[in-house]
Amino acid sequence: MEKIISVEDLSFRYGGNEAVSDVSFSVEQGDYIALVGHNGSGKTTLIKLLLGILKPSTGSVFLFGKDLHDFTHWDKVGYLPQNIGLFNPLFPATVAEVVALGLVSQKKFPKRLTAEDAKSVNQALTQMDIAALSNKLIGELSGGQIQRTLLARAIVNQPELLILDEPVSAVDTETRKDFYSYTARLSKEKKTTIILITHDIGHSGGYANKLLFLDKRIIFYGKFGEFCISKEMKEQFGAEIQHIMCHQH
Amino acid sequence: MDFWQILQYGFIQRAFITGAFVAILCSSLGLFLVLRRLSLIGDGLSHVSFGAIAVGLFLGFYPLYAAIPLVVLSSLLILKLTQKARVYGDAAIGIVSSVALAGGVILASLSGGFNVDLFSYLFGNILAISEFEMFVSIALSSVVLLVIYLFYYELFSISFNEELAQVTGVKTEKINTMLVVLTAITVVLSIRVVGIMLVSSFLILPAVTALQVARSFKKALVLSSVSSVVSLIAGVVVSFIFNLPTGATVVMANFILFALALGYAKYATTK
Repeated sequence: MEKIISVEDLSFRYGGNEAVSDVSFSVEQGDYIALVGHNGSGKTTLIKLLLGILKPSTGSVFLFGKDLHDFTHWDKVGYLPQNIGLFNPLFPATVAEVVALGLVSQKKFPKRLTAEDAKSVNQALTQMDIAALSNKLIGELSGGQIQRTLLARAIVNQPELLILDEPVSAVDTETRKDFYSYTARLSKEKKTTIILITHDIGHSGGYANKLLFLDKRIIFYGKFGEFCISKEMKEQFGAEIQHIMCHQH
Repeated sequence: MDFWQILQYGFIQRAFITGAFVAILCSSLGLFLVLRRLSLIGDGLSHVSFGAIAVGLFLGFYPLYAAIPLVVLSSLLILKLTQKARVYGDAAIGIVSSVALAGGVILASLSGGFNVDLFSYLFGNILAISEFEMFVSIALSSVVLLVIYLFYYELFSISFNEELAQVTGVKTEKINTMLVVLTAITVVLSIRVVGIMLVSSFLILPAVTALQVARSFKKALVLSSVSSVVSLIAGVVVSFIFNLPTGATVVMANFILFALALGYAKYATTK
């Protein structure tokens, strides 16, 4: 199996505080990883380090076998950030325009979109059930609709690696279920590698094949079944909570 | 005197042609600056251009020759202070612009004069634009507009969200540098049209007018340019007929269009 992500001795400090400490792991093609941990455990920081948004204090990241410094194939990557509320509500872009921005990585200079790209955008909008919102301004959408729009943007280029930072925090239960089954399909049928930050440890076992528990350093990384009998997890949550989480999915 | 009669004058033709190019340039770039909350960089760089023009006048150069490189360098200094020296963006603009302004005042005092020349740069004098200045403005405006056209998706992308842009392979640092350098050139080009004191309004008002009514990003760019050119034509004609300062009248025309767009947007949302 091809290694999609390889992380070696990765650390990151915000000022004097260590946010990620000495993290090493690798992700293989088709892996669906639930990245879990308490608030402030460094999950989002780790994702930003993997994507080169933050520069590590020490250590290195390899994407698709290439050192992140030399990595240029961003068309293989889809990303949905946390904090969708930070988007400027006055931004004058339509939903279709925002989704089309996900195709920019495939283009060479000078970047221009084609009629074929418009079809890809429509397809992504339909997949996320927001085709009717195509011409609405992003500032006119609800939190859940913005999240679907950004999901459509993340998948429009049919990425091989999809990184999602709490993607369903603002959507209803039905949409959440649809989303999970959609990502599970992507993982099984298209072998898309997925890393998903979630607080929903219990349900994550229903779709993710691996679980990475982070508390600045890696506490656990392995199959969900192994997590359920892990000594470290019992120490984190206690036997009762561990049992409840492991029988939810 | 009607509009067609006014158009017969060579200085009016030069004012319209130069002004239209600079107006489209300012309004296009202004949209990206406003959306990136960098509007004040235009204001800061206009203050820097005061110092730069004073240097030109002091050394006996054509002032805009001194202004373009000095203002571009200052824009890069603002960026470096923000990125490397842990100074907030607005504070960096404040530092560089006030130092340049102070330098300009000292040079003006040392030379014991050039008050009349400096005044024309402070408030602009679009009706006094020479043929040479018109061609320089058209050439530089065309280059800047071409760069905006070629990097449209990169600029759109970083304006929407810098992190997302980075993960689509956009070199955000380079695009940010390009944006401030283009802004520096634009500010210098706009000085003859509206003057140092009013140039930031030329960057901001058409963009915020468009943001009130635009229903897509492309439409916002077009509306910003249209609003800017309409204000320029109206401002020049009204100032000529009523013998008013042209730069200031153009800014007031821009503001009236903004107020109308704001009123329309409020009406449309309550309807």
